[in-house]
Order: sequence, then structure tokens, then C-alpha cells
Amino acid sequence: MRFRTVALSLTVVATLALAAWAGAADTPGVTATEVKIGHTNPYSGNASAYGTIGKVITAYFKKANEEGGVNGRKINFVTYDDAYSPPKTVEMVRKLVEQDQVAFVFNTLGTPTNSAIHKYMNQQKVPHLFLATGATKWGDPEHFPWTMGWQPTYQTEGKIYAQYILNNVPNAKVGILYQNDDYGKDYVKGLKDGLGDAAKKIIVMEQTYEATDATIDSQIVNLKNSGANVFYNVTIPKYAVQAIKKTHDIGWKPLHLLNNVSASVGQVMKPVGSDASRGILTTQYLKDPTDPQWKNDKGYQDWLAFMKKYYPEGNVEDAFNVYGYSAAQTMVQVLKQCGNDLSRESIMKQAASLKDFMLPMALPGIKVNTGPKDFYPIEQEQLAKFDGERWVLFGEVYDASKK
Amino acid sequence: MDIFLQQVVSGLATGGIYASLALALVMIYQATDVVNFAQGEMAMFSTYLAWSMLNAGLPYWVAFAATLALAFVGGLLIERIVIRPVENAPVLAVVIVCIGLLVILNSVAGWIYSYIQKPFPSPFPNAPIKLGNVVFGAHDLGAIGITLVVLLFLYVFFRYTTLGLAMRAAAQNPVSSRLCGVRVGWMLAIGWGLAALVGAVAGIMVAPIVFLDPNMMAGILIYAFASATLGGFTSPGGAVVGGLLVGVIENLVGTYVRFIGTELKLTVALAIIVIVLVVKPSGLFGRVVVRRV
Amino acid sequence: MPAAAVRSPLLAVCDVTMRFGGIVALDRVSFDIGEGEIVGLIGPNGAGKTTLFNCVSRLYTPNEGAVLLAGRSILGLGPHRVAALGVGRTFQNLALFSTLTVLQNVMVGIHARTHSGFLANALRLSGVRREEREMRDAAMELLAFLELTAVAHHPAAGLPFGTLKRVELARAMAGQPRLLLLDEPAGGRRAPHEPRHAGVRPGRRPRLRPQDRRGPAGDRAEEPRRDPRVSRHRWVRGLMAPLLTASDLRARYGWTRVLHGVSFDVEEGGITTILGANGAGKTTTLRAVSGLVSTEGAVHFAGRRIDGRAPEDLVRAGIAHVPEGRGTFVGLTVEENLRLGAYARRERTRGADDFERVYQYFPILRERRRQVAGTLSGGEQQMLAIARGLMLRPRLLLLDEPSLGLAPLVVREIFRIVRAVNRDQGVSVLLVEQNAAIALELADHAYVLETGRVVLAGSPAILKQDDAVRRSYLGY
Repeated sequence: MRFRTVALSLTVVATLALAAWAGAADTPGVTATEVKIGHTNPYSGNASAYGTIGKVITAYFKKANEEGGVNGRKINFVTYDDAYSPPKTVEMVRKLVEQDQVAFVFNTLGTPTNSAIHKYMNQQKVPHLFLATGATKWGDPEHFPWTMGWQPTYQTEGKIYAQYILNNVPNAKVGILYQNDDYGKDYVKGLKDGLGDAAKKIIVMEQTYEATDATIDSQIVNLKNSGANVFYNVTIPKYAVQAIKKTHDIGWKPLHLLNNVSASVGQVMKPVGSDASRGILTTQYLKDPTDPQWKNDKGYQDWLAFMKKYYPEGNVEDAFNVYGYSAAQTMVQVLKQCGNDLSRESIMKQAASLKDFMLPMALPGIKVNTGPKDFYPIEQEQLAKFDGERWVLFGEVYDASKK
Repeated sequence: MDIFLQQVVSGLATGGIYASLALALVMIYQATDVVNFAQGEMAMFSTYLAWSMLNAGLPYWVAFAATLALAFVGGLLIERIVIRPVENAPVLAVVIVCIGLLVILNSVAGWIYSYIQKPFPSPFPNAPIKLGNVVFGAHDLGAIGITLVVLLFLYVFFRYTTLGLAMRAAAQNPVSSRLCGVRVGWMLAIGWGLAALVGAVAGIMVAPIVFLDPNMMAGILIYAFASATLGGFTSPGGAVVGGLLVGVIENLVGTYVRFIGTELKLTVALAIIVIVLVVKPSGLFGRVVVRRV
Repeated sequence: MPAAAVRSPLLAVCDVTMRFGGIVALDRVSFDIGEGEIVGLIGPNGAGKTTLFNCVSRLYTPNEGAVLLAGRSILGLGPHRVAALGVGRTFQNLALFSTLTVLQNVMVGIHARTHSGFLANALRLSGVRREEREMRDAAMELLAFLELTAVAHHPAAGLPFGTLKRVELARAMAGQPRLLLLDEPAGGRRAPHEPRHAGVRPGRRPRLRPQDRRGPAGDRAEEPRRDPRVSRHRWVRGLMAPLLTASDLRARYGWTRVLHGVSFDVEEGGITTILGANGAGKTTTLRAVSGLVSTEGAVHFAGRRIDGRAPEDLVRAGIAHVPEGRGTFVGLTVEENLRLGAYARRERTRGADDFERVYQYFPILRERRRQVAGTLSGGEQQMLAIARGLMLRPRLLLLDEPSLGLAPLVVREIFRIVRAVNRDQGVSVLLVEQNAAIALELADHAYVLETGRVVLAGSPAILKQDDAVRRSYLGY
């Protein structure tokens, strides 16, 4: 009995291995037992608040490996620090592709950083999947068939805010603060597109900052003085906290629209304090881990158990840990769909073949969909308002792909 | 006019931050001729110490005083352990040691405290202060006040105490100082200690505005350098005035020079500094010692 | 230019006036220097000699008047342009690059007249390399001329003052100047005693005692003394152990040996002087005593061995060293300089008394007490340096060339004060001097140092009559 089981297992393993061998022979980073994935993330520097995303992804793949891997292959996740510095990203990604020989690169973080490697990845024909940035340009299969975003684009989000302003704020006067790069400009374009012809009249002032600035106090003062009654806050967490606090300190009380990039309760809203942060609006597509309405939700409980077991030092109030978890789940789904064909072409093909994939930590009703011409996996969002403690969802799920 | 005043006040507040770090830079430079690139990270680290103590439940001013004491000892130890061995090495070696120190302190802080931004309390009331149409945070005003108090303290210390006098002497003429019985090595160490202390004050005053994280001081250090240069690297008072000026110039340029806007305000502010230095190379308040040669 | 038929002098100074605040340093000074002429500017300290030099070399801009070089006004030119036009200068207090070697310092001077620009230099074009080689050769030639070849690769820092003065001269000459401005060069020139007085040998003259075979201290009491003011104490002191005893001091700077076994005593309450030309090792001897240079050999002070101890500790033991070049804290006020003098005192009563005492000797310092020391004249700075030493209430005062660069009247005044301090306060003095005449007048006991060795020792009265000493150090 025992002998038979062993023999059978051996046969199965051998067959699988052979099959894998056949499918993976010419793909770097893929062997019968392993698939090697590359990643860069700012573990240090100004944007190091995002560092936890790399850690939670690492933890999730560890979990997947302990549960037997994907189709029998273990995931070998190689992650490097790029300090949110594009030259460093180029250096690290070239190292991943040329020296470490990864099968593909996943969830590299940041708009300027990914822009720096965008062409390289497509020239090398290495899949550049599910980037941790919401720039619109990642969904361009015609020109960049090897690059695909993941989260709702910044433009999508901008359009949702525009819709909200048009429907809810009479005599709106919008003041904008944005980071002076592709990420900031995408957000502004989305808002302007959404506002349409009214944009010129409604937007009364635009202010920018550089990611190296010490403070953004001066910009906030100018925005307040412009007479704006809506503040469209397009900043990364470091400056988001400053902007929220300064707005409060100088007694400016606009309708405050905060980009989802900085909507983390643990990183932004909590440090800044409930007085200053109450009433701020943002959009959400993932479940906020601090929101008690998910307390008994299966998805949340699984996530919490995962955090406790695989990333105990991680902050369970930090939305970035939900983000990385969900992105990693999407990745695993693609690998599952690939079966034994882990060629780079197959990986891209499966990434573009996600159909109504449900993420346990996405808001109810939000589904991941991609196609050969649709490189925007998540295109649905819902508005939320901060009540001093947590984000409270309201209104309906807005679907950008249908408009 | 309101915009102008508001921007000036806001610039003074930011300038106060630059000023306090610039003050620390100038102190070490005066005492030891070293431009301490790690000054920002030393300040950041001290602020984390304060944060830990506050979290442990110490009252604000107790934690404040304890942090200053720790920062002083820390600065002293850094000079003794890290800087002393390269004392006679070329300037470049000292600069590299300082940069190494910067990276180490940054990473250690990240490792111990994580990179998540932490709120840091202010000892001043939360409510904004209104003067006509000009509104500013009480903390901004308080931070400037504290910077000035530190400056006054330093002035009195260096001007009227024997230790302060000995430190100035040691910086100026080490050999003669030794012949007066001044232990020059210790004076340099105390100089580092004092600079670390001033830096700690800067960190504790900055943190409530920019929030506490290991990279809190990175951007500010650049402005502090600009401020110290503008004021003259040899004048503590100049560093403070330089800091306030940089803060105000930066804001006004961003606000009023339309075609520049906020995107190039730093560039323009630095260009103004360059122009000032071309006209007056020792900085606005730098001393050119007039002496017979 | 045919119009300039009348040959203009090389340098014409016309009605130059220079004011510092309310102080008029130069009041309508005019003179000419022709090509090839040597002109001496003489005046007591504070007369404005250095200020005038600073005006000509364009470090200062005079308030009024004109300075013409070969008929052309140079007041619109920067100092480097003036240097390039052929005006070289030295400084009263040295202005050398202390971290560069002697050779490099001189090459800097040559650089003022080279033609290759910054870009060519940066690219290291072959012409530049050739030029640099030529520069180096020229510099070495100059160093040989000024007997500096031995120290060519030694950093300027740490060399004796006299040597550095010659280095500075070499640098000024390196620019091949048409006009050379020498500010108080006397301090730097080798004393005029060539050939070395071969006649002075241990044993040849029975009354001049070679230091190596020094007998017990009591011996010296037999020596005749002409100065009644000091002979009063002789008998008492002769029975006591010396306050300071140095035996067999040896020291080197890098590879250059400077002291070859120097021994001497300093009597309690007396004034001892060490004479010698520049480079003889006088300064090094003082530095060895106060711990600034490390030496072999032994130094005893008040019965305790002190060699190898740090200067900071020796100050606390009561040794005040007034270094060569005065060591004033030029950026501090007079009063602050004096406060520092008392820094090492144990008792914390450094009150008005001490200031009063010092001001009594140096009334001018009281007037200037709020002034920054760097603005004092050379003589005042020397007074300040001595006053600072006295603030320690020392048992032993080490004075290094207090006469350096000062006008004779000022020197006389300073030495009068030193004697008064010695007599009134009982402070023992070890004086190092090049100005032998005045030092011998002051001292109770004298040593003559030559190339790092004591060649003569004895009472000043006897030394004054020694032929070799008269020829070499007294000039008669």
C-alpha cells in the first residue's frame, strides 16, 4: 500500500517535471520547481512608506510556497531597493533581467521609476506586470505590449472626483496641489477631462511641488487665498500629511479631495489626527483594514490571519498591506492560469485574460477584468469619506470602463 | 496685501526650521572647520529619541530636556569615536565620514522605528492664530521663538562663559590654545555635542510640521546649507537670518513671479543666494577679519 | 608710446591716505622708487609701514591718493593682477600655505606669471606639463639660492619661523618681480656671521664654559658679574637647584635633526637667555620644554620630570609659553585674550586683580581692551602675548623672540617690562633671542646655540666680551 503510493507519487512528479521542462525550457528564471520574479520598491528614501508593499508581497509568496507553490513551482521573489530613484530603478531592473535572469518583473513601484524602465522592458520583451502606479500610460498594449498596470488609473480616479464636484458642489472653485510629474499630471488630466468645458471656470488655481521640497506650506497658503472651496490634493503620503495639517492650521475648510495614493489610515490619516482629517473624501477599491464593517468579512479575516502568521511585524491598519496582498493574489492567479506554459508570451497572454476575477480584499462588486486590448485590470471605485476614525463608503461603485 | 503677509509669515515659519538646522551646521563649522553632512540625520535621530520618551509617557518638557542631554552626549561621542580618528586627514575624508554617518543614522532609524510617518506633538496650542486676515499656526510662531532663544543661549554661552571662550580660542588658534591650557580635543568634542543639541531642538521643532520619519531632514538640510551660506558660515546670527530670508524669498518668488510659479521657486531662491555671494563672498553676515598682515 | 618721453619711476606713491574708521593710518604719503633702486621705509611700530605695503599690493584700497606702477595706476586692479604686473611681497606675519610643501609654496609664486589658462591646465596639455617641469626647476634653483633645498619637500607647517621667512622671500622672488616689497625681513635673515666662528671651541677659552661639561650649579657663582642689579641674588640662588633643567634634548622635524643634545638650566627667579641665529634650534628648544614637540632627553621642572607631558598639563604646572609670532587670538578681543591666559589657573578668582596687575605693566592694553586683537600693532600684539602669559601667574615664562619685527624703541619698552615682571613678581624667564645685544643686557645667564648644539654658556658680562660673540651676534 505504502509502496504503491510512493511509486504513484514518483510517477506523477516525474511526469509533471517532464511537462514543466518542456514548457519552460527557454524561459529564463523558470525551472521545473521554481519561477523567479523580480521586483523593485523604495525600502529607503523619501517614498519608503511604500516599503511595506514589498514586504507584504514577499510574505504572501512565502505563504503560497508553503502551501505547495503554483502548479508545483515555488515562487522565488527577488526584491531590490530603488529608493524611488529612477536611475537606481534602471540599475536594479537591469540586474534583475540580465544577472538574476528573472522570468518577469512584477509590481515595481512608482510612476517616474517605472517610466525609466518602460522602454527597456518592452525592448527586452520581459513582462512588466501589475505596476504599483496608477498612471494611464501603463495600459497601452498597442505600443507597449509587455507592460500592464493594475490599480485604477489616476485619470479614472480624477474623473470620479469631477463627477462628484459637478453633481454636489454648486459654485465650485477648485484649487489643485499636485506633484510635478506624470503621476500628478495624470490626476489633474482626469479631473479636467471629467469636468469638461466647465474646467476652466471651476479650477481657480493649480500649485505644484517637487518630491524634494522641504514643506508645501506656501502652496497651501496660496490655494487658500485663491478663494477655492474645493481642495484637490494630489500628493504622496509625506506631503499629504503636511498638506492636511497645514490646511487645518491656517483655518482653511474646503471640500478636501485626497488622492487614493495617500488614503492610508495608518500612514496618513492617523498621524495627522482626527480634527484635521475629518470630512476628507477619497476613492477606494480595496477594503480598508480599519473599517469595522469588514470585521466579520471572510476576506478580511483571511488577510488578518495571513498578516499574523507571515508578516507579524506589519501594521494591520496599513492599507498598503492590503494593496500588496491583493496585487500578489492577482499575480498568483495569472501564474495559475498559465498552467505549465510559463513562456513570457504565455504569461502576458494570461495576464490579459483575467475574467471577473474577484479579489477577497477588493470592495464588493469590484472585479478584475483584462483583455488583449484592455490592460487596465481594476477600473471600478467607490467614494469614501473619513469620519475621523475610518473611511466610510458611500454612493455606488463607479465603473470607468463603461463610460 | 493679505497674500503677501500670509506668505511672509508662512515663509518665516519654514525659514525658522531652516534656521535652526543651519545654526547647528554653523556651530560645528566654526568650532572645527567641518561641514557636517550628517547634521540632519543626527537631528532626526534625536527627535526619535524624544518620540520614544514621549511614547513612554514622559511629560513633554522632561522628554525635551532629556533629549537635549542625550543629543549632547551623542554628539560628543560621535566626535570622539568617529571624527577624531580622521581629525588630521584631508577634508574629503572627513566629508566622507560624515556622509557615512548620515547613511548609517538614516538606516538605523528606519530599522528601529520603520519608515512610517509618525505624528509628533507640539508644545504649543493647536488652534491657529489670527491677525486680521493673516492666519498661522501657533507652533510656527513658537518654533521661531525657540530658535531665537537657542541663539540667545549660544550667544551668551560663547560670549560670557570661560568654556565658550576656550572653544572659540581652540577653533581659532589650536596651538596657542594649548599653551593657554585649553584641551583642544575636548573643545572640539564639546562643539559637536552642542551642535547635536541645537540640531535636536531643530528636529523637535520641525517634526510637528513635516511629521517624523527617517527622511524628515533630507530636504531641509539642503535649505539649511543654503541658509548658512547666505548668512555667512561664520556667523550663528547670520545663519538664523539667512534661514528666515531663504524661507521668505522662496515663498514670495513662488507666489509673485508668475511665469516661474512654484515649480522653479527653489532654483530662483538659490540663484538669489548665488548673486548675494558673488557680491559678498563671505555671506551677508560673515566676518572678514580685518587684521594687519 | 612716444608721448611718454619722460621716464616714469617704477613705483610712484602720491598722497596716499588710509583711514580705518577714525584712525588715520597713512596721511598723504608720497615717494618714488626707480627701477633697480633699494628703498628702505623706516618707522616705529604702528607708523603705517605695513598698511602702506597693503595699499601698494592692493590688499587695501586707500581712501585718497594714487599708486602708479610704471606710470600706470594700479588702484583699479585686483591683488592678483598687481602680482602679475611684477610686484612681489612678503608679510610681517607669515602668509604661507601651511599644508603645502616649501617647494609647492614657491611654485604657487611662479604660477602668477605662467600663461596657460585654466582649461589647458585641466586638460593637462603637453605644453602645460613642460611648463610645470620648468616651474619646478626654477623653484628648486631659488630654494638652493636661499639655502632651503634641505626642506624643499617638508610641509611649511612646523618649520621654524626664520626658515619660513626665507620661504616667503623665495615665493615673492619666484614671480620674478620688478618690485619686491619686504615687510620686516630682518626676522628671517640668517645672522651675519659667515664664516662660522671656528674659534669658539669647548676648552679653548677657559672662562666660556662648554655646556656639555657643566659643573655643579654653584660653580657659576664665581663668574664675575658686572650688572649689580642681578648680582645681589646670585649667592642665594647659586645654592638652590635650578627651576628648570634640560639635559641632552634631541629633536627632529621629519628627517631633519634640529637639536643634537642641548642641555641648560634656568635658575629660579632669574632671566636666562638662549641666543642663536635663525635655524639654530632656539624655538625648538622652547617647544621641547613646553611639550609642543616630542624630544629625547630629559626636562625637569621644580624637581619633577616633565618631558613627554602635554602642553596643557605644563601650563597648569606654571609654565607660560609666549610663542614666536606671538600666538595672539586675532579674532578675540584683548580682554578675551587675557581671560584665556588665566584659563588654566586652578583658583576661580581670576578677578579684576589680575587684569589690574597686567594693565599696570601694559597700560596701552587697558585702552584697547575691547578691541579685536587682530587690529593691534605688532608691538601691542607682543605686549598682549606677554600679558596673556602673565595672567597665568606662572613660575616660568618662556619668551620666543619678543623683539621680532618690532621697532627698537618698542623692543626696549618690552624688555624693560619683562625685567620689571621678573623683579617684582619673581617670575623666572627663559628668553630666546636673536637680538643678542639687548638679551645680554637683560639676562643673568646666557647660552649660545648653534645648529642644534650649545656652543657657549656663561654670564652675559663675559659673553659680551667674547670676540666671536661680538662679531657674530653683537656686530662690533
